[in-house]
Amino acid sequence: MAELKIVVVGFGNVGRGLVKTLLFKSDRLTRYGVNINVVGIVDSKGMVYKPEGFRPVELLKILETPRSGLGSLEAAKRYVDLKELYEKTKPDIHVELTPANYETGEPGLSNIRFALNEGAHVATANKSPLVFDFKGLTELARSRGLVLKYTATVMGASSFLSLLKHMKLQDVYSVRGILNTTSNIVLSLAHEKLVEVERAVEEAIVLGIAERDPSIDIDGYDAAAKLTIISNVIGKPVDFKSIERVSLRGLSLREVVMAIKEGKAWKQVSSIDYRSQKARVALEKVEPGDLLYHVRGAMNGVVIETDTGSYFFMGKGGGGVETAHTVANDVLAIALREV
Amino acid sequence: MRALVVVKIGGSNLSNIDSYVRAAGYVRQLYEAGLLPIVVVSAAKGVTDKLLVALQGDRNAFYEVVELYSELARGIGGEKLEHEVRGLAEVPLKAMKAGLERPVLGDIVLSYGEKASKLVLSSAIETEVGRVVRVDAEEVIKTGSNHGDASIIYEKTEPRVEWLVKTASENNVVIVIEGFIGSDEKGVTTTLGRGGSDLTATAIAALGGIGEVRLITNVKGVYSVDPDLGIKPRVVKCLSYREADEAARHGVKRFNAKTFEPLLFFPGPVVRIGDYEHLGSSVMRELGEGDKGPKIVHASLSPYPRVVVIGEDGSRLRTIRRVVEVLESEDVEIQGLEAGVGRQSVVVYMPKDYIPRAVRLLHKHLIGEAGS
Repeated sequence: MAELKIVVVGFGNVGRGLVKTLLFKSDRLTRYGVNINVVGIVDSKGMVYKPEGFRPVELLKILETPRSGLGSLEAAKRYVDLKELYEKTKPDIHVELTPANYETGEPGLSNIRFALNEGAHVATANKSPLVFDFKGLTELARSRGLVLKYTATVMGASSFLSLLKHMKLQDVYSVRGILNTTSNIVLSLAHEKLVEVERAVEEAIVLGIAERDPSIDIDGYDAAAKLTIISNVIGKPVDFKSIERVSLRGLSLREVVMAIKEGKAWKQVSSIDYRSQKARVALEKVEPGDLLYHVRGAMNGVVIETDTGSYFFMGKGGGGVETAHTVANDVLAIALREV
Repeated sequence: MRALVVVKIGGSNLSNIDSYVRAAGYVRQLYEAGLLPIVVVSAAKGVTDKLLVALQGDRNAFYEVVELYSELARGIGGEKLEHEVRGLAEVPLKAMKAGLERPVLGDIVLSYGEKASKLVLSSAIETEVGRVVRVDAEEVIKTGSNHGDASIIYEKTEPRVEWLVKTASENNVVIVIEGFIGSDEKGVTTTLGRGGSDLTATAIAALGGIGEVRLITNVKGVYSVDPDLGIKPRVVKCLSYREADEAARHGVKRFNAKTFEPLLFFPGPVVRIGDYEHLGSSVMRELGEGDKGPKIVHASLSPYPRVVVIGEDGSRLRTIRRVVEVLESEDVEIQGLEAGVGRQSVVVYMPKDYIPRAVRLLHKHLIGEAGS
C-alpha cells in the first residue's frame, strides 16, 4: 500500500468537499493500492497540521469549523506559513484551492511555485495561477519531474480537460461554449421566472449557488480564465487580458422577454476563433438549433471545431462535491504515478 | 463493534437547557450500554410555529427564535457556540430581505430551527459522551425540488447514508444530524414536510441497514385511541409497517404518511416509539399471528364523519362482522362500510352525533380500555 501525504491549501467548498471525498471514498483508494493521508489544511486565517496524518475523526471535527475558522481549533496555528507546514509535514502532493485572483494570481501563484520548488506534486482547481503563468508553472513542474494537474479548472465537475488534452493531433479551429455555471444558472432563472438579472443574481447568492461577490462570474472573468486555460491546453495560447468581456448586468428584463417571444435564449457564450483571431466572453441570443441553447442551469457545454469535425462536450460545470471529486481524481492520478 | 441505533429526539423533548442536557444524557446512556446512536434532531418546541409566523412577515418572530437558541447555546456551549448559532441566522435573514419566492424562502427559514437545534444538542452530547460529529442533513438527504414537501430520492441518498454509517462505525462516534431537512440537485435547502424528522430517521435506518429506530417523544407510545375523546387509551405494543402506514393515511396522531415510506421500500428496521423511560410501541415488518387484529380506533369528521378501526387483517370478514355487531347492538346508525382488499382497516361511516359513542363502544369491545 502506497502512503502519500497531502496538504490542502484553501478550505472553502471544494477543499471541504475534497476532504469529505477522501473520507467517503477511502475504500476505493485502498482498492487502487493507495492511502492518502491529509497532513495539513490551510485556510485564509490559519492552518492545522499533523505529520503522521489526521485520523478520520479528526478530519470530521475540522470539517465542523466555519469558513475561515480553522484558527478556532485548539491545535491550530493562527497564521499561514507554508514553509513551516512543509518543514513539519513533508507533503508529497499539494492541493491548491485558494480563491482565484485575476489581478495578481495570488496567493495561488506563489503557493504553486513554492510547492513545486519544494518537490511536491500539485493538483489545483484555482484558475488564476494558470492564467498568469501557465507556461512557467508547467515548465517548472516538468523540469523537476513533478506533475501539475488542473482538470477541475474547466467544467470542474467533469474530465473535459483530460479529453481535450488527449486530442493532440487535431487542429482546433474554434472553441465555443458555456463555461461559467453561475452565469448560466442566473440566466436560466431570469428566463424561467422572468426576473431582472440583478434579482436572479441576488437569489442565486442567497441560495448559495453564487459567491457573495459574484462579479468574477457574471462579469466574465471566470469564463475568460477558462478560455485561457483551454487555449493553453490546445497549444494555441490566448492572453487573458486580450479576451473581450461583456457583463450579464447589462441585460434587461425586456430583452429577456423579447428573446423568449422569439423562441430564443440569452447565454453567456465564451469563444475563441483561431481563424479570425478573436476571443471573447459575450452575451448571445441563441436559437434552439444551437447546441448551446440546450445547456441550461448548472450544466456547461463546449463545441470544439477541428479538422476532423465538431465535438460537443456537456456536463455539470461545478458544485463543491463534484469539483472535489475531479480534484480527488487528479490526486489519485498523481498517486498512481508514484505507486 | 457497537450496534447502531437511530434516535430521533422530537421537539416536544427540547425546550430549555435542562431538556437538551436530558437528551444528551439519554444518548450517553445508550452509548454506555454499548450502542452507537445516530441522533436525528428536531427543532425546539414551538420553534417551527414561530418561524411560520416569521414567514407571514413578522420578522420579530424570527429574532425571538434566534434569541431562544442563543440563550440555549450560551448556557450549553458558551460564547463560541452562541456565535455559531447567531451566524446561522444570517442566511435566512438575507433570504427574507431578498424576498425570495415563498416555497424556497420557507425552507431556508424553517430549516434554521433544526440547524440551530443540532448545534446546541451536539454540544451537549459532546460534554456527555465526548465523541460526537455534526453532519449536515443537506449533504446526506437528497431530495427533489418540491419545496416544503420534498420527497427523498433514495438512490442518491443511499450512498451518502452508507458513508454516514461507515463514519460512525469506523470512528466510534455519535453522529448528530438535523431531521426534516434535505437539499435538491442544486444543493438548495429543502424540507420534508409534516413528520419530516421521523422520515429522516426511518430513511437513515432503512438505507443504512440499521436494525432499530427510536422516535423519542413525550408520550409512552402510540395510543389505541385519542385520549382527548375522554377514553382511557392503551399503548399499542406492536404494529406492522402496513398498520402504521394505514394509521398515517387516516391521520392518526403520531403518524405521518411519509414516516414509514422508506420502510415499505427498504424493510428491516424496528421503529420504537415512546419517551426516554418507556418505548411502548414497536413498528415492525411482520407481526406474529397473536399480534394481529384491531389496534387503534380513530375518529374523523372530514370529509365525511367516520370511525376507523385499524389493525392487520382489519378488512377480513370476521373483523367487519364484529364491528357491525358491536355498533348495531347499541343502535349506532351505519351509513356505509369500507374495507378494501389488502387494507388494514375497516371504515364505518355514520352521522356525526354517533361518533363519540361508536368510538367508545368499538374501543371497549375490540381493544379494551387500559387496565381492563
